[in-house]
Amino acid sequence: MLLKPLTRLTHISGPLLVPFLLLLLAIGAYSSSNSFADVLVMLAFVVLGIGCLRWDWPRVPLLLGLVLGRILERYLFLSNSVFGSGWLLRPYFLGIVGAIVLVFVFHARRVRRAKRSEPNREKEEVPA
Amino acid sequence: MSDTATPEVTRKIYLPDLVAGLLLTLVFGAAFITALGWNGKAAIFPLAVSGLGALLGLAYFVRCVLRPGRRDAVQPTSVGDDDEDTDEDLQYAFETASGREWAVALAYVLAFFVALYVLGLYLSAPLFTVAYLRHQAKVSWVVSVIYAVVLFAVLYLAFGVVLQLPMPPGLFPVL
Repeated sequence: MLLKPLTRLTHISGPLLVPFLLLLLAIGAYSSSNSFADVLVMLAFVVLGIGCLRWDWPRVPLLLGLVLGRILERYLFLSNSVFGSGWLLRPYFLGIVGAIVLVFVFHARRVRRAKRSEPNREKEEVPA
Repeated sequence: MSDTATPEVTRKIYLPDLVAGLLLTLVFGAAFITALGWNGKAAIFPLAVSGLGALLGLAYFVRCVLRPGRRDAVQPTSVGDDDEDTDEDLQYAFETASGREWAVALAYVLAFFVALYVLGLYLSAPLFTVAYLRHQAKVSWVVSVIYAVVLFAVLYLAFGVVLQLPMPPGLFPVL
């Protein structure tokens, strides 16, 4: 029922949304700890994000690092406290490491195959 | 047999990548050196992350120098049925925006945040709204004022009255 009116929001001209969005950004950043320093940190990341867009650097890993970094550190401490260094030999950990290695291996194979097929494509395009 | 001259592929160093690799190496290196002064378990994670980051940054920098890659020009997506902004459209807009357009956009953002700091949220919101809508969005006075009043009312009711969240008060708090 609300879908049609909501989709019409996407047709609103960009400049009309700017004041509203800027205010929401500022309020969201400020309200985390009622400090203007958080707004400045947000602006620093805005500059970083614009740089990533401008020069084609990926933003997703940056976001993942920001979100997962704290979680990773917390559970690293927990694992170290509970198992000592033996957590490195736990089966779930080894399984996840194996999955990561497989992802890299398959990706490398795919890239190598793509590079091998590129010269073949160029040879076909060369006129006789 | 005809001679088919293969076109020369010129690979040049892409300066932003070089700068990024260098910056990452320096930032992570500084973090590593800082973390060396921390004791025990508190230093494990920072050392691991910053050490790995510095090595990868350095590897990226060296790769950019020794094996520079080609950067294809970003082509804008066709504007037709799809009205949504895509990443490629944004990137094209960023790469082709003139210096003046950049300066104007940054000036508005800077002016907003300076006004937010000096005047506080409830004063800067309507002032910025009217100024931006009039001069940048080229909207009439009536629409700008109505927009500003509605926006102020929504902000005040939602965040001031209902949620009672403290907002930036500015240097001269009046509300």
